Amino acid sequence: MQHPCSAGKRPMLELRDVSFRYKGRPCDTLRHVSLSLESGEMLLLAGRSGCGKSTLIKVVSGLAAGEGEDRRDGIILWNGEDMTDWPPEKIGLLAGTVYQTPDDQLFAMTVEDEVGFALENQGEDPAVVRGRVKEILGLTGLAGLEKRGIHQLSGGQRQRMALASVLITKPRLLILDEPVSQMNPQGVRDFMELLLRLNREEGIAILMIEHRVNELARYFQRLAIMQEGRIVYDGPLQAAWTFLTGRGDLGLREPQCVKLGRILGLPELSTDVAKTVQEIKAYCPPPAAGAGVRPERAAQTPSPPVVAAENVCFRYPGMTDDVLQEVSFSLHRGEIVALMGCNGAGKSTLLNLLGGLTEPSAGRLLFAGSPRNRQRVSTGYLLQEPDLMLLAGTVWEELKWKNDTLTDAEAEALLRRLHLEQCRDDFPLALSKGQRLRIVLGSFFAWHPELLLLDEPTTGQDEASLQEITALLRRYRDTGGTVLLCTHDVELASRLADQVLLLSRGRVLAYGTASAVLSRQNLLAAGGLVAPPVLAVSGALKIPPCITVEEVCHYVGPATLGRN
Amino acid sequence: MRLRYILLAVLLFVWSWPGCAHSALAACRLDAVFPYSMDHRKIEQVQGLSTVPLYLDLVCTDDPEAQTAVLSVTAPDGFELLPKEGWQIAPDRRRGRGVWHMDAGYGRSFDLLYVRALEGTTAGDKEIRIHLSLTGSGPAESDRTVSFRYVPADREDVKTAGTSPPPEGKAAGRGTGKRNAGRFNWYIQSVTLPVDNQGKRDDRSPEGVLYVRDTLLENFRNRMTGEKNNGYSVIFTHPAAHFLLDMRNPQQDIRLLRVRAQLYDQDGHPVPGMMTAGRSDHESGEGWAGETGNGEGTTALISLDGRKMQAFILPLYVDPLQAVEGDYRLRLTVEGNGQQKVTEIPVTLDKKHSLGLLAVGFSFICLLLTLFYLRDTVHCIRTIGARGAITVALFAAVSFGGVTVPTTLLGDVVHALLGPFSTFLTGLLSGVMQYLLILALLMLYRKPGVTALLFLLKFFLNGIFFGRFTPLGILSMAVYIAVLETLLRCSGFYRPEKTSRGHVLAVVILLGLGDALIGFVNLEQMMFFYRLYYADWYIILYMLVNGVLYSSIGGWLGYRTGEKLQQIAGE
Amino acid sequence: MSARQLWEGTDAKPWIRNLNGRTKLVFLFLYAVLMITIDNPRTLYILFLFTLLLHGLAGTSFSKWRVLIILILLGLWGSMLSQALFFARTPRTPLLVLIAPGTPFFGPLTGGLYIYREGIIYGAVQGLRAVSMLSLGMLVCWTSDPRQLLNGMLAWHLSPQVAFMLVTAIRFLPVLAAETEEIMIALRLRDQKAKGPFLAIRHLPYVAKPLLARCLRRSQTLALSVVSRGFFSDKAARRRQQWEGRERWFCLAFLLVTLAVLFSKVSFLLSEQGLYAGSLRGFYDFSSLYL
Repeated sequence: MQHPCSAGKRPMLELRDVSFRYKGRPCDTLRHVSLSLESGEMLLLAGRSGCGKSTLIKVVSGLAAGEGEDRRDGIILWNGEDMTDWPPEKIGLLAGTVYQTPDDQLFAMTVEDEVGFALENQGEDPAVVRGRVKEILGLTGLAGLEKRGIHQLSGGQRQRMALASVLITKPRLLILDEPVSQMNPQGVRDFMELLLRLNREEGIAILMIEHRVNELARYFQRLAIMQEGRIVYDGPLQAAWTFLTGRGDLGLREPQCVKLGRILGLPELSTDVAKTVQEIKAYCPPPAAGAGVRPERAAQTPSPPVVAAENVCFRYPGMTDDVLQEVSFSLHRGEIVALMGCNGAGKSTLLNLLGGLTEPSAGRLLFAGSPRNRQRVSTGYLLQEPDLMLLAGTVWEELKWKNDTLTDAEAEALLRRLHLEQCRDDFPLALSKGQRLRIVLGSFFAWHPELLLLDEPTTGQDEASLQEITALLRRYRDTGGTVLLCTHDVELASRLADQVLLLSRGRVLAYGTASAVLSRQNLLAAGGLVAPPVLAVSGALKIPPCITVEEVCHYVGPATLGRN
Repeated sequence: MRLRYILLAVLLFVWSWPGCAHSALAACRLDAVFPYSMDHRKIEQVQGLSTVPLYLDLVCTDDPEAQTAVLSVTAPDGFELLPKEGWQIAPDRRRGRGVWHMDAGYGRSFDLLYVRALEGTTAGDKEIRIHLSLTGSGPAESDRTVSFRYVPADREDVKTAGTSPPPEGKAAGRGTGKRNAGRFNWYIQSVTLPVDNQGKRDDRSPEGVLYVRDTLLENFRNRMTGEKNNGYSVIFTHPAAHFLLDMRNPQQDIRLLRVRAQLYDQDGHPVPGMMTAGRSDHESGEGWAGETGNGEGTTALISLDGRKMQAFILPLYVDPLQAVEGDYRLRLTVEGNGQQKVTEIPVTLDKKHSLGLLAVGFSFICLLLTLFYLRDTVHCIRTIGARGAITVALFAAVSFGGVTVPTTLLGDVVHALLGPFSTFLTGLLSGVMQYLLILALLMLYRKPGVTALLFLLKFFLNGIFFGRFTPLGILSMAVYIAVLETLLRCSGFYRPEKTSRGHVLAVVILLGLGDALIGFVNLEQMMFFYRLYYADWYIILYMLVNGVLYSSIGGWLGYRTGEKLQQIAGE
Repeated sequence: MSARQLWEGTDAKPWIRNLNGRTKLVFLFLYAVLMITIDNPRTLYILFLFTLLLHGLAGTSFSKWRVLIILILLGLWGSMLSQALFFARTPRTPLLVLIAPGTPFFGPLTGGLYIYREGIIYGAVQGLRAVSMLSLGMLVCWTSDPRQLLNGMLAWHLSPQVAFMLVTAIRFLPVLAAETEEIMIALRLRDQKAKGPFLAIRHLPYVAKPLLARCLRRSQTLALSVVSRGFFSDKAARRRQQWEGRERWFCLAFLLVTLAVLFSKVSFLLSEQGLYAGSLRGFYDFSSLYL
């Protein structure tokens, strides 16, 4: 399905039948891609990892043209002018690109140097550059930070600065490659509002690549979906949900309202809560009798805690305040606990304490009932950057790394469980992001740990990868393992976690079952989290608070009239 | 012509006639000269209390059997014979008896027997009587007398002569004896060091300093020119310096004396370092190590010829393998005829560090080569692209942060604990880690100039973070760049074809050897610029372990890592 | 005090902080030339004290003084220890026998290894060269922003591309350090059975792959970012920082002094080898007394 470009109006950017093949690859990464973008338009480009989204950016930016032995076909037009062979710096003046990790795209030591780099390279007078830097920093909310060192900026400020560094050349198009994938919900909201302002006030067109469609759908009118190098959908966002029905293979993470609408068979799928509620009310029968009881997960026999924290406090050396203040909780066998909270809540500090990297300043951590049993409770701790935990030359070696207890047969079985049989002899660091994460998880599973600590493992993972990881963790839980999962992703937590431990400013704000914690708006707001959309849906439907689509479906029957 | 043959035949007949052999004495000739001069001057009188040699020379030419010659020497009244090995001196010291064995056919023996005038001897003509008795095929005897004139010494000299010599005075560079000159037969007046082979003192050269040549370089040169070790004989037969020995001979003795120069440390213990030419070397076939530098010192013979003042220019041989730089006392011992005179002068042994100079010279050549290699860095950056440039920059940052920073900061701590041996620990970083990074980077960007860029950036980082913008830093960087880039270019590593494992292994070992050379040059530079000492064995160990071993291991690991990283680079 | 604070020059006095990067680099280089030219222990000591005086005048903070003193003492001690072992001059008095000459293998190899008393003193004197440069280097670092020195180098026609690479390296140093630390933590977490004091050393070989892989991925992103911002543009503007006349004159004067000292020393050394000129007698005397 292709976007119907209005006849006679010349698009700002137009790709005509563009194909691209990297040197040494057997097939094209981009296959006959045709795409156009009007001036001031916002387009969300989605697709699962490896579908060719980033290559498309490189081709548009002129960065995939000069690499010698690569092959490119088709034409790229800028306001009707062939820009296929323009040098990247010329394209860069018109189309600025911002990448996923701000840390990796900023090279200078100060804000002023970084932002002014593009103009300096154009030979602009230093005084002009300084004036322009000041102007752009004001536009992006970084006014007065010219002399600030890059290291002194927060993550959100760095992403804004990355944006400022491309805005300085007054581009007409902003290309953003998964810019919010590492951000917390508040950060995403702030950044998207800035983009909307730029789009609205400066008339800058925006092409954003992101597979977290669920979070970004409300900001865009148009969606393009890529699969295996082709554009398989290009059209209005609201119409995309129908197209996506039965297309789990596209790896998109749909908004909860859309999922709910699809399960309930609503005639129109929408990301909008009010509209979804309206549809449900119109087409779905009222709650059946006896459906008043929430479908809780099977009650578990209380087991002695694997780990318990008793009034644990922690203070970093040289600091005056405790990062953790009298934190108490217990983790039991066979449960997944989501550790949630906004930035600076103390989540990573708590994981470090449990992982044995630091010791509490006060209070006690009891492992299997005693502070002296730390060694008896084997713990696997997945750091936020799983790439930094991959140490060996092959996947096989990685699983068996320093592990004499793992037999070859067990390793083979583990490989199968991780769906990595085909990659046995591959270099782990060269595999996809999801595969890399699974390898590290696998290396922990190989030790049969009793406790698994995961620090934001799903960041930047596409839907397919997320589902595989979810399945792995559930299986681990079912075999008696305990998981403490640190995440900002409320939807994931509501789907996966048995318990939620919500921290705020170093204190336990709430600790209870996922449905009990995540269904309380005030708690989520205090913890800096965004409530799952179905919570609002359930509220509007006046049914008990629900945090998952499945819970809503328990109270609401499928549509009697509509799409099936 | 025929007449000549006839004459020869007659002579042979007469010679072989038995009757001739019986008259052995007729074929033996005894020469005796007194006073005898070493340089064959004609001396007719003996003065004062001097000791003068009696020269005895016996030649037997026509006896078919070996003979025993017994010589009896009788000194005139007022004279005594001095003890001498091979002679029996009677208690009254006027008579001496020597037994010589004369070979059959042709036999010759000669000796010097010293005769000294005694106090109170009156002036006048005197005679030494010599009786020769031969026992062999036919006993024979003969007598000789040698006449001379005796002139007594001044009165004061007579009073003090013959007493034992006092300890010698000190001499500083130009050693000077401060004593009553008339008391001794002979003594050391002064020693001047160094002088040239003509005995001239050059005021520009510092006093008492002996420059020792750097033999390591000569050894290297000899090996390169195929002379092998034999060249050392040349080194050992060239004196390090000459010194001027100014002797006083108030009694106008005529005699041979033995001079020995030895090194003593400040505590008075003999130390090795001086040697005697000819004790070593190709003549004995013992090789350059030979018997040199065994601490016996340089020895020489000098001949007093009867003059009251006499100066000798003598060579000093220093064993470059055993001599250690520093301050010593050079003890000069002159001995003969039971007498011994000793003087000491302070000397400084100063080794010429040719290798250090050579290393610095090599570094400067490397600097030129580096400038040549770096002349087109922008082109190299364009060749590897922005991604390549950033990769090189990040690898340089890793190398700086992972190698330079810990070896600079922690290296000092380890250095404080292990001293020079800390390099074998820090070498795990500067050897293994560094070459791992280099080879990994080269596997990603196999282009000339990449290594140079890496080291250039590291140098700048070192300068910015540790203030190491120093000549030594620049030279050290230049050596790294020049040696490694040259080796990589020469080894064919930059050829576009795919490299085989064997080729890479060879390159890695070559780089290891190159690093050994770099380590050597840098150590020599440290020694040169910072005047530090490192033992040869340590330098060799450093080159082997830190250079060849660590760097080769690091290089190979880097190759393996680079192979893997290529999969990521291709994304 | 964090590592970053240690390397920041914000607490230095303005007079030295505001000096041009070129002035600092010239001074540093010429001082290094002086340090390797001079042999006289007294002069070396005075030059070393002068660097400490500069630290005092620059207002080096107490914590940095502490770091500096530790580094100087370690440097001196290292030099003393190595020279105590390898001192090859006499007189030398063995204080301790580490390896007797008769020890199998090592004895003949080393000819005996001793700690010499005179070597310790010699090492202390010669170590002054290195620690003077360490002290001065630290002074320059602690009183300069890296950009200041970089601008100095750019003014001396350092290629903009090399300058970019240098800035990139500086920019990512702390990031790489943090990642290395994280990898070391990861190693601890993954090597569950490992214990012992040398754990970090045993883990070192495994650091390279993940760290370099990150470098490569980062270089991809950064390359895309900078190329589209005109990295290879030939029009790049060169920012010139004014080099004050007073500082230039100081550098020139210091250069002349250094050249004079160098000339004096070299002529003195040549005179010892026989290349003597009577007219240079004054230089010879000066060299033998003070250099």
